[in-house]
Amino acid sequence: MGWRVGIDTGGTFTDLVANSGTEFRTAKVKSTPPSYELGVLAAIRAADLRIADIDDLVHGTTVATNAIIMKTGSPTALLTTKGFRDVLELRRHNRGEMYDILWDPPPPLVRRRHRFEIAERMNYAGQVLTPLDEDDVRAATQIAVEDGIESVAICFLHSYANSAHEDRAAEIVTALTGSKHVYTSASLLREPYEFERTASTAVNAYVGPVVEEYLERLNDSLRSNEFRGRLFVTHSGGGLLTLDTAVRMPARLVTSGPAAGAMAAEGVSRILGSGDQQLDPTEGSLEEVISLDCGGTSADIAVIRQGKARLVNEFVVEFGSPIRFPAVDVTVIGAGGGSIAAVDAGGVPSVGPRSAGAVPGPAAYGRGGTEATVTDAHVVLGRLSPETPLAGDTELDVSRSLDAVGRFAADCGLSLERAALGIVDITNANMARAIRLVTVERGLDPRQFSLVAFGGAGGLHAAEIAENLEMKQVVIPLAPGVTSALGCLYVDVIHDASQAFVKDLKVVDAAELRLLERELTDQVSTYLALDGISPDRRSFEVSLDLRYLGQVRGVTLPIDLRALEGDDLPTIVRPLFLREYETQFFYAPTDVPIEVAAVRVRGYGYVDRPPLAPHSPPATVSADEPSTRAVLTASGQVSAALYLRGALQAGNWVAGPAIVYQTDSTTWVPTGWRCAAQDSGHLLLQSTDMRS
Amino acid sequence: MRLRDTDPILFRVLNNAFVSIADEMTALLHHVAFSLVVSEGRDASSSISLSNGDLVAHGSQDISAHLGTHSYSIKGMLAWFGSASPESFLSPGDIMIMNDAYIGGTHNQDVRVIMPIFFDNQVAAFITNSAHWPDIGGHVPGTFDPNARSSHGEGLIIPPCHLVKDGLTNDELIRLVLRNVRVSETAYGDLRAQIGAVRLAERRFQDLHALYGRDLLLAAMAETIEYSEALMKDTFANLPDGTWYTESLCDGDPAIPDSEPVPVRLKMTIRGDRAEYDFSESAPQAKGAINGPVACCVSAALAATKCVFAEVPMNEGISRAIEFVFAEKPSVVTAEYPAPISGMAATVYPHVANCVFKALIQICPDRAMAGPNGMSNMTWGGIDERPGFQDREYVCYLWLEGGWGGRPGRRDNHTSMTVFSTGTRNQPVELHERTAPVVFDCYRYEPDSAGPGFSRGGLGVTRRWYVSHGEATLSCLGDGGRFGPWGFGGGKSARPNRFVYAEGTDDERDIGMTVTGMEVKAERVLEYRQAGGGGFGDPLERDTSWVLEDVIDGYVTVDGAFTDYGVVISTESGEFAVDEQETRKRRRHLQGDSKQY
Repeated sequence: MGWRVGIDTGGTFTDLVANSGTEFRTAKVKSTPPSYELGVLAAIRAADLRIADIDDLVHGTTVATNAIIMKTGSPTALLTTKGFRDVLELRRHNRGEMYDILWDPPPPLVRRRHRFEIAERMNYAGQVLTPLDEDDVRAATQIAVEDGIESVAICFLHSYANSAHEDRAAEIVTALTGSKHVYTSASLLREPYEFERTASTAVNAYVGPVVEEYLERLNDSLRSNEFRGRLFVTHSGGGLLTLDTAVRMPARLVTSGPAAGAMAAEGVSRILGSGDQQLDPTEGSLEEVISLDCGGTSADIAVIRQGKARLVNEFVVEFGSPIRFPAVDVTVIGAGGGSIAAVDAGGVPSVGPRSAGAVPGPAAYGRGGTEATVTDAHVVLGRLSPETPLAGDTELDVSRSLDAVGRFAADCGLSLERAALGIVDITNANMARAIRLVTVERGLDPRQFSLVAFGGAGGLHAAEIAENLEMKQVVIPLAPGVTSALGCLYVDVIHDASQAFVKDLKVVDAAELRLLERELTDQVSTYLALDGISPDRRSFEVSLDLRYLGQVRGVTLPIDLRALEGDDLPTIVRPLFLREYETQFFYAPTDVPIEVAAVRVRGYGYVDRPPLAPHSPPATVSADEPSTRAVLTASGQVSAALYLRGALQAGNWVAGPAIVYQTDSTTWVPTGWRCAAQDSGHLLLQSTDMRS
Repeated sequence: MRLRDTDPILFRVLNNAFVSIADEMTALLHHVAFSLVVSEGRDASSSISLSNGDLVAHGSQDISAHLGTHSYSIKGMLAWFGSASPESFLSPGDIMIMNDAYIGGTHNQDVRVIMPIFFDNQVAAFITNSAHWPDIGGHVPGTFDPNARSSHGEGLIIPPCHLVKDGLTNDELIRLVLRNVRVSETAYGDLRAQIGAVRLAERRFQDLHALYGRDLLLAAMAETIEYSEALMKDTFANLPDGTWYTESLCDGDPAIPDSEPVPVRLKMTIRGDRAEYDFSESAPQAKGAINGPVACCVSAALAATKCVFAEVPMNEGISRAIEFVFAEKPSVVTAEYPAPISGMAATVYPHVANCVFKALIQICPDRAMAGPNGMSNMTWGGIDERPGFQDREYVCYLWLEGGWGGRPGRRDNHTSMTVFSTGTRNQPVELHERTAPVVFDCYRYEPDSAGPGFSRGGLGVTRRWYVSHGEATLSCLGDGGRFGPWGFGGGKSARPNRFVYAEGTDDERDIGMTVTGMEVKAERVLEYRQAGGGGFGDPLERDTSWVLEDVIDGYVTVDGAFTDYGVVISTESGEFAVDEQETRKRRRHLQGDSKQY
C-alpha cells in the first residue's frame, strides 16, 4: 500500500509525517535554505521511505511568507487606474504603532517608480466611465520590461464589478512580455476595497516567480528520484493546491503553515469526535476544540467548531500587505519558548513579543542568548531538563538559564523562583487572553471546548492555560513537534470564489441568486477538475454575506441555496441571519431591513485521509516505577513522575504532577490533572479537581 | 502596598485585561456600526474610567483625540447631576448618552455612550465609547458650519441623559435625537452598536469582578493610573529643567473678514519630575468655530506628549504629571459655553499638538519630529438620485490625511492620519462610490508637497472628486491654508493646504479652508490638496542619492530637486542622474543665499 506523506518546511526544521494503512512515521530534519527541496528529500530519507512508494506528497512551504518578510520577492510592476498610483502605499492610513513617531511602515512591495497609472475607469456598477487607454498599458509595459520587471499586478477600480479593462490590459502585457506572471485583481477577488484587493494582487505578483521556481525545482528533484505520485501544496485556507494552481494564485501559500497546524487539530477533533472509548462524553464537546500551536516565537490559535476551523476573509502577514483570501482564522500572538522576559522603566515585567528566535535562542541553548526566555524559566522550574534533550540535538545548559532568569529576577525585585513562575504565568495569561478573545468575543464559551496543544512548547503550557480558562480537557497530538506536517495529511483540495451582490433581502429573487451561485460553482468546479479531482469527490458549500440595510459589514452565513424554493428565500434566511448576528454581537434588531452583500462558494475535492484506526501500539511498556524530578510550582516544590511518551500504555491514567517527554516536545501534567495515551495515539489530559 | 511590588505579574495581567475589554468594545463597534465613518473610518473609541472619571485604560487602536476627553465627559456628567455620588442618579444597567462639548465632549458629532459598572450597589467604574455620527443636525449636511456663532448652530446638543433607566430604554429621547439628525437610520445603527458595545464591556468587567473581587480590581485600576504618572515623572526628571516658549498659528477667525492669524501659545516648563503646560498666552476666544473647550486642549496636549514618550501608557496618570495653566478669561483653547467649537479638530487640536512638539523637539530632539499635517473636516450631502437608490439622503465625511514631519537620523517620514487621530482609517473609494453618488478622480501623493529637509517630511495627498448625480451641499472646516506644517533645524515648511472647485470652468473658485452650505453642481470637480510634513535639518545637506531616488519615484520633481535641495538632475542619458558638479555649484549658491538672510 502506498504512502501519503505530509512535509512541512519551516525556516529551521523540515517535518514529515507519513501514513500507510495504520502505520505512521515521522521525521524532523534541518531545513536547507535556500534549496529547501534538499531538506524535503532528506526528510523522506530520514523516515526510511522510498520515494517511488509515495502516492501523495502534500507539502507546506514558507517560501511565499519568507519572500514577503525577507523582501526577496520578484521586482514587480503595478498598473492602477489613473489617479490612484499610490493606493498601495497610502494603505488605509493607519499605523502599526499608534503613537510612536519613530515608527516606520515596511516599504510597499512595489516601488512607486514601478506603479503605473492607466487611463480607464469603471463606476460602482461596472459601467465604463472612461475606456481603457491601451497605449498607456503598452507604454507602462515597455518601461517595466526595460527595468527588468518579471511580474505584473493589475488592479483597476471596481474591476470586481466588471473585469473587462483588467482582462484586456493583462492580454496586452502578456503579449508584450510573454511572462506567465501577470495577475489581475478580479481573477483573484470579486469584492470591493481597492487597497486590500490591490495589496493582495501585488502579493501574488511579488511572490509568484519565487514560488514557481521553487515548486519546479522541488517537482524536478522528486521526479528525478522516481516520484510518480501526486504533488500538492497547502494554502492558507486549509486546502490543497496542485502546482499549476499554486502558480496562478501564489499568495494563497502565504501563512499556509499555521493553517496546516489548525487542519491537524481539525483532524484530531474529528477522530476524538468519532468516539474514542476513553473519553468521557460529559467533559466538553469533542468536536469543539481550540488549537494552540506554540513554538519558539509565536503561538497560533484557532477555533474549530463541529470539526471545522473558522475562516476569515482577510489576513495580514506584514503591516501594509493584507491578503484577501478566505483563510483559516489563526490568531498569532508573540508568545513562545523564545519569548523574552523584560522589565520596563517602572519595574513591571512583561514577556514577549520580542523573541530570541532560533538564533541566539534561549540562554539555555548556549548560542549567545543572555536574556531570560520562557524556555529558561521552564529550565529553572525543572520542567525542562538536560536529562531529556530537545529536538535537533539541542543541549540545555542550566547554569545559563539560572543566570538569565536571575538577572531578570533582580531587575523586578523578585526571588529567582517567583520570577521564573512569573514568566510562565504571564505567558499563560497572554495565551489565555488570546483564546478568550477568539471565543468569548464571538459569543463562544471556552469551557465548552477541548484544547488541542502542540508545537515544541504547547505541552508545557496547555494544562495551566486550560485551567485558567476552566477548560477541562487537553489533547496533545501524536507527534506534537511535527503537527503541521500531520495537518498536511488532513487537508482536502479547496477552491473559493465569491462575487459582490448587493440587494435588499426582501426583493432578492432566489432564481437570480441560484444563477450566480451556479456560475461560481462552475468556476470552482473547473479549478477542481484542473486539479484532477473527479466529480464524485467534489462538494460545494455556499454562503451569503448578509448585513442590515445601510450597514457596511455583517456576517457570513452558510446556506444551501439549491435546497430553497423560490419565494421562501427571505423567510428562511432572515431568522438564520438574526440568530447568527445575535450570537456574534449580542443583539439583533428586528426592525431593520436585511441586505445581501455577496455570494461565496467553496469547493472541496476530497483526498484520502489517514484512518481513524489505532496507530502502532507502543513497542515496550514499562511496568517499573517511574523516576521522578523536582519541579517548582506556585505551591512549592513537588516531585513529578517522569514518563517517556512512547512507553505510556493506552488507557492507563497517570496522575499529575508528571512530565511526559518525547524528542520533539515535553508535556507538563500539573497537580490536579491526569493523563492517558489514547488508542489513536493522542495524549489526553483531564482536570481531576473540577470533576466533582 | 503597591500591587506592582507585591505581585507585579498580576498587575500586568489586570492591566492587559482592562485594555482588552476596551479593545473588544471597539472591535464590536467597528463591526456592527452602520456608517462608513465608524465602520471603515473607525472614528470611534472606547475607555474604562474610575468612578470619579479618571481614565484607566483605552483600546489599543483608539483615537487619542477622544480619549483625553473621556474623563471630562464623566466628571462633567457628575457635575451636571450636581452630585459627586453617581449612585444618586444611576442604577445597575443604566446607560447614558451625551455629546455636549462643554460637558467633556469634542465636536457635537462625537456621541458618547456611558455605562456605570456596579459592584454590589456602588459604581466602581465607567465604560465609555465615542462614535462620530455622520451628522448631528444643524444647518448643513455633516453639521460642520464655520458660520455658526454659537454652539447652538452646531447641531443638536445632548447633555447627559438616560438612554436606559431602570431597565427601560428611553425611546422618546431616541426619537427626539433621531428626529434632529440627517441619515437617521445610519445614526440609529451606530447608536445601537454603541449600546451593544458598552453592554459587552460591562459583562466582561463583571467577569473580572467575579474572578478577582472588588478590592483588588479597584486597587489595580487606581494603581494603573499611578503607574503611568510615575513613568511620566521619571521621564520628565530625565529631561533638562528649563522653560520653552512656542506658538502655532490658526489661519484666522472665520467670523472675521480678512482676519489676522489666531495664535495658540505654550510656555512649557520642565522642573524636576513635573512639567507645566501654560497656555495662558493663547488668543482670546474667537467669534467663529475655531475654539475648543479646555478638555480638547488637554486631550491634544496629552496625545502629542504621548507621541514623543510612547512607552508611557495613556491614562489619567500622564495628566497628573503635568500642571496645566490657562488664562482667566475664555481663550481659543478654553472656550466657554456657548462659543462655537466645531472646527476644533482642525484648529485647537493640531495647534496645541504643534506647540507641544515644538517645545519637545528643542528639549529632546532625538525623539521628536518636525511639523505634521493637521486635519480638515469636510462634509457634503444631498439626495442620491442614482437609479435604484430611491432618492435616499446621504452625507459624506472626509477628514483627510497628510505627511508627518522629518525626523533626526531618518531619511524621511511617511503619510498617515494626523497625530491625534491615528486610530482612524481612510474610507475605501470603492465603498464611498457605492454608498453615495460620488466619483473620485484622483487620490494620490502630490509631488514636492513634503517639507524639504535633510530628513524629508511625509508627502501630502491630493484628492479630486465630483458628485455624479444631483446637487450637493458642501461644508468645510479646515485650517492650514496659510501656514504649512513647520520645518525645524534648517528644514523647510511644507506647502499649505489648498481647496479648489471646478478648476478650468466658469465656476472655478478657490474655496479656502472654510466654507459652509456651498452648492456643488453635478460633475464639477473638487480638489483638495492636503499638506505634507515639515522638513528636518538642512535640505542642502540631504544626500544627493536620496534626492535622486525621490525624483525617480516622483516624490520630488526635477524642479523641486533643483529649487528645494540644490540638486541638479540630468536626464541626458535617458535616465535620471545627479549632475554632481552642477549640484555643488547650485548648493554653494543657495548656501550663500541663505547666509545673506
